[in-house]
Amino acid sequence: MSYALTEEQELIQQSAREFTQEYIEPIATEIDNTSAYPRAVIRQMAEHDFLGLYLPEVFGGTEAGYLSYVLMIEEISKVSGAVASILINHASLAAYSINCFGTAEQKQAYLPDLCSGEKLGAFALTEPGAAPGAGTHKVVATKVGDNYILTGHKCYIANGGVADVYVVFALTNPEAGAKGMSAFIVDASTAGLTVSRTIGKMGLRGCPSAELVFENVIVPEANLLGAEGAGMKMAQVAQLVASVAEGAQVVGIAQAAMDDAVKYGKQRIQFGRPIATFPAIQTMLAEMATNIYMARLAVYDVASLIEKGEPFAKEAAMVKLFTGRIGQSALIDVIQIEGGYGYSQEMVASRYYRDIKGAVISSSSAEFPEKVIASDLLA
Amino acid sequence: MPKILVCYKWVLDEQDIKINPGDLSLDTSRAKYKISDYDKNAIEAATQLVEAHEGSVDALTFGNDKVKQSLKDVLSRGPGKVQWIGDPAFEQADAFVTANVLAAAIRNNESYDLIICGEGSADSYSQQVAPRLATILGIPAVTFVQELSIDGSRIIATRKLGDCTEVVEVQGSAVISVLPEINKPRIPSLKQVMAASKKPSQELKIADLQLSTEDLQAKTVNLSVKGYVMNRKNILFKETNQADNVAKLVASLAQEGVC
Repeated sequence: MSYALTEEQELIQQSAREFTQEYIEPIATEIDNTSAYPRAVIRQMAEHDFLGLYLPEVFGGTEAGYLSYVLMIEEISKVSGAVASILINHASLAAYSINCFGTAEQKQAYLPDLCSGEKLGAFALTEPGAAPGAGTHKVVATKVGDNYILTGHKCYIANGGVADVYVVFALTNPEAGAKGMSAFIVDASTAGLTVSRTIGKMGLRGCPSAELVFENVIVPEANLLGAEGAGMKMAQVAQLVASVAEGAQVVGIAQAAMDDAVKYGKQRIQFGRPIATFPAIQTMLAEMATNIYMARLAVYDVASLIEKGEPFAKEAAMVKLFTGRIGQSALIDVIQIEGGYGYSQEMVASRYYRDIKGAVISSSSAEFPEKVIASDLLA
Repeated sequence: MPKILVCYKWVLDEQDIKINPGDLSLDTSRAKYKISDYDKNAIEAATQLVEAHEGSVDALTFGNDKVKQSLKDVLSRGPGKVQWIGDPAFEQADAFVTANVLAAAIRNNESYDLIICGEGSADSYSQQVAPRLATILGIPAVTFVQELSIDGSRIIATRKLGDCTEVVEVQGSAVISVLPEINKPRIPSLKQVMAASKKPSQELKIADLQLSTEDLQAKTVNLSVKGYVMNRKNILFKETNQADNVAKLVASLAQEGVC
């Protein structure tokens, strides 16, 4: 498919494909097996300008647009959903928030290192219990003089423990609930901020998920991101932006899984002929191919909306909803087609199956996509 | 500071070509184009030389009307500018025509210290363009090069031959054709991709190259291209005695001329 990509977009896609095949594919299974953060490959990605691809040139980014960025995420996801997640949390959540909501000083202080890959970003929203701020360990930010003092726990923070910069959401007005939430830029080295543990996961292994503990972490007022009390709105916007990248992640994983199933279906002989010649198999393949094609079009379209600065919330939520459904159903069928081979832990299909589930549930804590879509329709 | 020209071919990506099962014809309707693989080694070799010695790398290509799509790709890989000749009439250009056109385009330009080509193209792999080009330009050709360096005005190349290597030195301008083992072509960074748009490209027209009708008449005509399909023989040896199976296998292989 072409989606009328520009020459630059096609070359970025090609460059990302060459890179992932050269540097990520050979170690993708090892990353999954060991759950080890692939530091060397992230460094190589930084050298190839992957970490600041859509961010402004003035801060060291490539400013190639959000569509180019999701093309890159799709290519990476074809070989490693985990590496794609590391990048999405860095670029679509942490760096996006600073670029979109930060002051000129904050952008100048943080974006150059985030674009160059000198520093990795993370987005610390989720807390133990339920929604952010709802649990017993909610992170509270108390204003003392020119500083805020942050105390509490965060959990399931992607890139936790390996990130250098966290965008942290904390309650500046606990009585106001979500409306009392604010965002802060917090350096990982700040005294009182520790990683209590890394949580083992079903998929997306290698993109560490960590619990963060804030014990009287002093954050200067200058590191308040956006207005006090605007945290939840900012989180929702960033998560919608990220959900488009996660849509590309789902499309990439599903495409790779389908390609694997097609190859297997042509090779596996049953009743004297390849199983791909059976109508039941062909029906599954045709349905997943159609769904992936439609999902890809939607992902590219919403990425273009983001790039052009047009409203995108409803459409991004649609991408989240649709890619979630079709991604999971595709992988169920891929495992069905591949049978015991696909179910084997030694084969890639089972990794795709586990990774796609992680891609689908990422960035879905702030609001259900159905609610975003319905709210827009009924407004 | 060397002034280097690298020639490349814009070819169909063989991974995208499907073979029609009926008549074994090639279905290229969904095939994308790419820079021929060995030409990427040539581009990388030229780029490494100017990184080490300063100087400049220009690129030159000739092909059908699709070659214009290659300009940003090649410019993202190192060359500072590119000249291209794209004409749908030359879809079937052979090595003779290609070398004539490239040589005329080179004569149209300033002189180069070094002209680097890939050993052969990913599609026809005739391995003729570099030697033909050197002949027309009246300069030495050094083929099968696996190592290349420059020392002042000397070009030093290691050639990989059948069962030995040969180191040769050339004074002055030469055409070099490189093997894939000479280097590992870089993957352009995304900033290099974006910067390619800002580099100059120039179209040359066949009509402006002062070539005769004969120069542009292919010597080789492609009559057909068909896919090659390997079929299994589906022979099973079912003797109870394994030694008999082995004997039958050997006899069968001998009958096929394998041993």
